[in-house]
Amino acid sequence: MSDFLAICLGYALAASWLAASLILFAQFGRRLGLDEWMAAGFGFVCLGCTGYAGFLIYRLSVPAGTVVSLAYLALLIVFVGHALW
Amino acid sequence: MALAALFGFLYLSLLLSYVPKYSIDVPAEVYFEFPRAHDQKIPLMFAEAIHDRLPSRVGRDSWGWHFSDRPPLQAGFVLLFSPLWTLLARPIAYQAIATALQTSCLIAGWMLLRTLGFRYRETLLAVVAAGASGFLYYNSVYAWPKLLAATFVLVAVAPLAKAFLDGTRPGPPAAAISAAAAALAMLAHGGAIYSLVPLAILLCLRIARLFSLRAFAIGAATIVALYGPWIAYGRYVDPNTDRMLKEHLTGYDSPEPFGPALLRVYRETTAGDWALERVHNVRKQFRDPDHDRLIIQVARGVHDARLQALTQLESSTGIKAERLRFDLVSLGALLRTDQREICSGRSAC
Repeated sequence: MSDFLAICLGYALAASWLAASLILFAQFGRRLGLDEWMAAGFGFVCLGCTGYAGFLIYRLSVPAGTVVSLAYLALLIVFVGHALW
Repeated sequence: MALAALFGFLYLSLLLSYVPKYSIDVPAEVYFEFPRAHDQKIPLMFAEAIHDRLPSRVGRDSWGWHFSDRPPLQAGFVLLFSPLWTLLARPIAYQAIATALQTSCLIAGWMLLRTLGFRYRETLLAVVAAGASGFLYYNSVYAWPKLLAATFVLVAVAPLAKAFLDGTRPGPPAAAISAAAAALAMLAHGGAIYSLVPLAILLCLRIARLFSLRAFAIGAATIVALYGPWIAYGRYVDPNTDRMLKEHLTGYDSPEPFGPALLRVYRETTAGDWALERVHNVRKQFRDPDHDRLIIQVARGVHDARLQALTQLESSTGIKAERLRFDLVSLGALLRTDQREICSGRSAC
């Protein structure tokens, strides 16, 4: 794979991941009753906390994939549960 | 969000359009008027040291720095992205995630402007203008996490500014979001303090009118909860000597602790010294003779191929006549050249 294609692929994955997380967190903020732009701020804060958690989890040698997957799953369950409720 | 993603893609395309093969050192070596320190790869080095459990993840390196001298947020994102290191080379994966993170400041800028009540088209114009500037291009490909810190500063300002414009007090959610974003800005890059301290001073002047006690307590607790672990890390896990703080705020590293060093330096600084340094700063920005000569040379070469032979300026090690081809070496440099020429009101040709 050429460097250009590799970096395009990497960027597409990174940007998609960040955007999807931001949207998910912001939607969760909306469900908590925040207005549109406050929810966006909430989304950014949650995204930042995800990165910080990544550092702490890896540094503390917690099985990172497991923890992060569980965290996202828990958030999804809360989000969907709240939406249904 | 799509706009930010497109700008990120544009930046990376420009980055790779000039070099046949990508290297992590390219953004520091080629795309600036001067070769820069390779600070942009420190988050990757930190992430690799943690990921590979290298002994160097703590302790002083050969240049006297600790990893704990610099905040960990970008390294955290890189670590979360590390499962892709099996698919992509580490430097390439790092450049991709780091550029994506820096361009998030465009989304935050959009959010702030819309929060402040700017109309859709005004916001679009502002964000496109910012995205097309050399400044954002520079700092997104040379991906030290300054724009990531800027993202969180903008997020921190938004709820407070909205409450101020509405003439209301920020409630506990707004205080918590603002405080968390401020802490995350500091966790992205310590330079955020230059924005956050004036903001804090402004808030302190009106704190009783702006915040209820409950909102203030929630905000303070949020900052302590987020920033506390990092402070503890720099004290107990990888004890550093506050070298970064000392170099930025006292001018140089010294063996004494940060607090006494700061007091000593400011006691030794007279009002005359302080004023002279301010004048020197302004001169460096607008009247630096070496830089001005270089800019005129570059601008002449850009506009007239017959004038592309540069004089060798001793201080301009980054640009050499044989290397500068007057094409797309750096879109940012060219834009900045034009901007500076306009600002100085001189015709380069």
